[in-house]
Amino acid sequence: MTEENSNWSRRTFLKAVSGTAVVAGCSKGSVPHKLYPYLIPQEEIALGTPAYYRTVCRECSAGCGVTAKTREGRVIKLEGNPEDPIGRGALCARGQASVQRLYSPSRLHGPMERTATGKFAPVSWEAALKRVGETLASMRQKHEGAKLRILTRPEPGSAGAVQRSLLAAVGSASSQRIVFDPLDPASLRDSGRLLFGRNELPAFDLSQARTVVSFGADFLETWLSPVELTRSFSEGRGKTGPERTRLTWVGPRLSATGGSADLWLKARAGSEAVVALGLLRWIVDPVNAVTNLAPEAPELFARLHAFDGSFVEEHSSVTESELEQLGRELATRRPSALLGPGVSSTGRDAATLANAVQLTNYVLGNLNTTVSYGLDPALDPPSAQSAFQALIADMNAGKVSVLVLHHAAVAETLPTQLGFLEALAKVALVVSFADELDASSHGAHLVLPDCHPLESFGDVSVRKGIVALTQPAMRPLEDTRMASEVLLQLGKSLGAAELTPFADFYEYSQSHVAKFAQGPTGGDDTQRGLVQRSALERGGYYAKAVHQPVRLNLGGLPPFQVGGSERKDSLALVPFPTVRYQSTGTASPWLQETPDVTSSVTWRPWVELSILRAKALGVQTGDVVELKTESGVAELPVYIYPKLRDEAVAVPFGAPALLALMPARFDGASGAMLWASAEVALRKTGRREVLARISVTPEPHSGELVKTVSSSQGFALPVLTGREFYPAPEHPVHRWAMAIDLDRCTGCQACVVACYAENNVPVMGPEFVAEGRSMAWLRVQRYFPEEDAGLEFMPMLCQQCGNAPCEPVCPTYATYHTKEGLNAQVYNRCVGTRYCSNNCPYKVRTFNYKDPVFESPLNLQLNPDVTVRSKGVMEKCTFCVQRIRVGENEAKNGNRAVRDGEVVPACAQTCPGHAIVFGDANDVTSRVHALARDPRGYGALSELNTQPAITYLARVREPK
Amino acid sequence: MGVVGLRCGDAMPPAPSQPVPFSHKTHAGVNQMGCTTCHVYAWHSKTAGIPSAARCYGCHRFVDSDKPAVQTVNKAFQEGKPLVWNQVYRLPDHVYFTHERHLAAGVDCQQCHGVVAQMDVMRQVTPLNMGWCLDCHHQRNAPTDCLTCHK
Repeated sequence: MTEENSNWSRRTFLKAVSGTAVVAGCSKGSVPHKLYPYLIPQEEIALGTPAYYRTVCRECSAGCGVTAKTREGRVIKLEGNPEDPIGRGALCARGQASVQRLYSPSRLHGPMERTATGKFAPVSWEAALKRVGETLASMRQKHEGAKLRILTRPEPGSAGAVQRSLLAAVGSASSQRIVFDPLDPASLRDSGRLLFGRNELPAFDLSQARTVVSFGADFLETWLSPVELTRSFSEGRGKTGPERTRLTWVGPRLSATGGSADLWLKARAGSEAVVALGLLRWIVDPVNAVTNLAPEAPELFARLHAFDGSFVEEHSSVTESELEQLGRELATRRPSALLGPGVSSTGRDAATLANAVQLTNYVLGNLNTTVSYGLDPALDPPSAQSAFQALIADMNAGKVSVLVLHHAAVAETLPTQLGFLEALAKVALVVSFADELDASSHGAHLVLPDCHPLESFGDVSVRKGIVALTQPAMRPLEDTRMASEVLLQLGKSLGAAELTPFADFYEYSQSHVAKFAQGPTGGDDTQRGLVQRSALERGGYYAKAVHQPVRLNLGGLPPFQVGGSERKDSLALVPFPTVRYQSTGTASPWLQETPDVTSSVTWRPWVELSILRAKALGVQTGDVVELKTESGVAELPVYIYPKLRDEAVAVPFGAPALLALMPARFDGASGAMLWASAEVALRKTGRREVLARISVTPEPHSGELVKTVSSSQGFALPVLTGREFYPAPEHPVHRWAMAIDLDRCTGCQACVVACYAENNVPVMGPEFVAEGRSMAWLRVQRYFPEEDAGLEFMPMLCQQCGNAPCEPVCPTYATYHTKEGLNAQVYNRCVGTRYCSNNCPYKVRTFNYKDPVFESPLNLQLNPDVTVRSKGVMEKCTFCVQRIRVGENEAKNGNRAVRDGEVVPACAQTCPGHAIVFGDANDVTSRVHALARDPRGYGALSELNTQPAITYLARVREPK
Repeated sequence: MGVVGLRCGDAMPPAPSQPVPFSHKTHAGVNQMGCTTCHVYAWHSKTAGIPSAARCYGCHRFVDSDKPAVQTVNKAFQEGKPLVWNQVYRLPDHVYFTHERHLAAGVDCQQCHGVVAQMDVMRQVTPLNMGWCLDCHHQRNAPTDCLTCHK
C-alpha cells in the first residue's frame, strides 16, 4: 500500500479489497458452461423432468418388477413396479443397489481376449465373435456337439430359449445347458416331486397364515422371493389381537428373519429336521387330539413313532414343552405355513426336513391355501447343484471343449474344493458374458460383456400368468452387447431354424411373448401393437393363475432318517446368505456400506461366535480366529453374536473364506448342495482387525426407545407439562409427518439403500465407518431385547421435531423449522460448527469430514434434484423435500390440494413390509393422521419434549 | 478504483462467444417467434431447454439456407453433430429454480432475461443473485422459505 493511501478509512479499505475479489471472482467464473442440444428430441423425454421405464430386477430369481426413473437419459433411481404382482412396488436393498452395478467403475468397456501371456487385452466384437462362431461351426462339422456346455443363471423366457436353440444348432443335447442358482432350495423342489408328483417349488401366500414357522428359511431376507414374502407376512402384523400373524424361528442362529420371530426354538445346528419330525409327530399323535387333519395322519404317525419328545430333546435340545407349545399353536391357529429348508438348515438331513415340512403343511390343511403348487412355471428350473460336480469332472476329463458362462459365478459361490477354476484351465475355449473380470472370468479366453438389465430387452416368467418384460431404460454405457443378441446371431450363423426368421433378439422376444399380446381383440394385428405397448408401459402381462390342487402320495417316501445331529463335541459351521450378498461381480458400494441386519458389520466378512464360545476361546469382537474344516483353513475376525447357540460358528455368504471352508457335499436324492454340513475347529491367532460396524450406542438394549405392547394392554405415554421458551411453530398448510410400524419392520435395510440412492448420500469406506462417520441419513437400529425371541429394529431418521434441539444452537440459521413442519438444513448456509449434531438426541445428523467421492461413472447416478454436499457441511434427512416439492407442483398445476399418498419419500416407497407411512398430518383424512392417534403410537424420546413428527407404532409382544 | 462499491455478484458477465452469430432480435423481434417455440420445455419443466438441431433445421432447410451461418447450423444437423452453445444464464448447483412455476405465476420471460427481442447478442442482464431473487419474491408475496430453492 502506498503512502498516499494511508489515510483510507478501514471501511474504504474493505470496499476496495472486496471489489478486487469481485473482479477476481468474475474472471475465475468466466469459463462458460456448455449446452448440448438434442439432435432430434425424444418425444417421451422432457429435459428437467423424469421419464420412467418399467423393467425387471435380475439380482435374484424372484423377478420383482422395477420402475426405472431416468433423467436426461440416465437411470438415477430404481423403485418397485406397483402393478407387478410379485413386488407390488417394493424392492429390497439389493434391488435398490443394482443401479450401482450399471454404473460400476469395474465394468468392462468392451470385449476382452486373454493373450498368450495370460493377460486380458481389448478385442473387437467382430474378431471375438468370429473366433466363437468358427469354433462352434467346426464343432458342428466334426460332430463334437457333445463337447459344448452352457452354464447359465436361470433364464425363464426368451433368453433361455435362444440358448437351447443354439445348443440344438451345434448338435448338442439340451442337458448340456446347466442352470446355476446357488441358493435354489433343491431339496424343497425335490420333496414336491416325491410327495405330490410336482417337481417344482411351491408358492407361499403368508397373508392368510396366522402362524408361520420357519426352519432356517430366511424368507424375509433372501429365501425364494423375499420382497413378496415380506409383504404377505407383514399383512398380518401390526395388530394387537389374536389375528396377528405369529412367527416361530427354528435354528441355531437367530437370522434377520428370526429377528421378527415371536418364538425361537434354539435347535442345535443340523437338527432342524429332528424338530420338524417331532412337531409332525406331535400333531398327528392321536393323544393330542388335533382335529381336522388329513386322512393320512394315522399312517404318518406310524412312520414317525421314533421321533417322540424325548428323542427330539436329546437330538436337538428343543424341549418337549416347547414342541408342545408350538404344536398346540399350529393345531388351533389355522391356516398356517411352514417354510424350509433354507441355506443354514440345508445339512445332511435337508431332504428329510423338506419332506417333514411339506407333510406338516399337508396334514394341517395348509396346502392349496397358504402353500400352493402349480404356480411355478418351471420354465428354467435350476439344475441340481450336484450337476456342477459332474460338469467339473467332464471338464477335467477333457470332455468339454467350449464352455459358455452366462452370469454363473461358480468360482465365487461354490466351494473351492470342487476345483472349478482348475477344471476351467482344461477347456479349450471359455466364453464369459460377465460384465467385469470376476474370478470365474479370469479363467475365460473371451469375455464378451453383457449389457446391464437396464440396457437390455427380454422377458422373464417367474410365476404362472406373469410375463414380465425387460426393456432398456437407457443406451448402453459401454461397448457392450446383449448376451442373448450375441447368442442369437451365433445361432443364426449356424443355421438354427428357430432363430433365422428374426432380425434381432428384440424381435425374437416380442414374438416369444406374442401369444400373451392377443388381448381382447383376439390377435388382430393393428390392436396387437397397442397391447404390446401397454404391456411395456405396465411392465408385462399380468394374468391371474390358479393353483393346482395336489394329492399326497406316500408311496415314494423313504423311511424317515436323521443322522446330522448327533451330539458331538465339535463345532458346526453355519453359513448364511444375507441381502448384502451378490453372487456375481463386485458388490456395490452402497451394499458394502449398508450394515448387516443382525451384526451391523459393513464392508468385510466376519465369523459369529456366541458369548460363551468367545469367552472360552478368549476372543472379543474384532479378534481374528483361524477356522479349520475338513476342506480348508481360513481366517476371519470375530463378531460376538448373543443370539447364537454355543456349538454353532456362523459365517456369512460372500466371504471367500467360506468357500474354502465348505466341503463339496451333495444330497444323494435331490443333488442339493449341503451347505451346513461341516465341522469346524477354532484357533485364536492373536491378531486383531477393525470391524467397521455401524452402531450409535454401545448399549445392546433399547431401553425405552423401542416400546412393546402386548395384545391385552396398552401403555401410558409421558404427559409433559410446563411452558415453552420458544413459541410453538405454526403449520398453516401442510404438516409433513411419518408413522413407522415397528411390528411390521423386519430390519431389511431396503429403506437405507433407497435413501442413499435418492439423496446422493456419499459412501465413506470402512475406515470412516469404523470411526462412526457413516453418512447414512437413515439407519435401522438393532437391539437385543431381554426376551429370548426376536430382535428389535428401529428405523432412525430425522424426527423433524416441532421443538428441535438442533435449531436454536445453529449460529448461522442453517437449520430451522419450516412452515410445513420440516426441520430444514440449508447446506449453503452451514459453516460446520456441528453444534446441531451435538444437541440432537437422536444422532441423525451427519457431518462431511471429507469431500464426497463418486468415482466415475457412479456420478451419473446422482439425483440432479438434490445438492451434493461438500466437506465441512452438516447434512440430514428432509423427508425427501425434493419429492414433496414435486407433489406440491403437481397439485398446484391441477389447482387442487396434495392428495394423501401422492408424496412418498424413498424409504417409505421401497419398504417391502409397508411399515413406513408418510403424509400430511394437517389432512384429517390422511393415513398418517390416523396412525398418529393409534393406541400403539408414541414418539421416540418424546419425554424430552422434542415433539417429533414421526410416530412409532410399538412392537407387539404377547404376554407369556 | 472504479470497482469500489460494487456488490458481490452484481457484476454481469460479458456475453459469451457462440458457435454461430445467432440473433434473438431476428428470431423473436423481426420474425416475432414466441419464446417457447424454441425453448419448448419452459412451461412444463424446470429447464426451458435450447432448441434441438432438428428444430433449427426444420425452418432453415427452407429459410436463408444460403447464408454461411445458417449453413453451419444445417450442416450440424446433417452430420449429426449438434452445435455446442455457451450458457448465458447459470445458477449455482445448490439453487433449484423452475421455469414451470414462474411461468405459471405469470412472470414474463423478459423480467429475468431482458428484452431479448432487441438483442442481437444474448447476454445476461440480471444479476441472478439471491438478493435479486428475493426482491421479486417479496414484491409478489412468493414463498421465501429456504427450502423453496435450496435442497
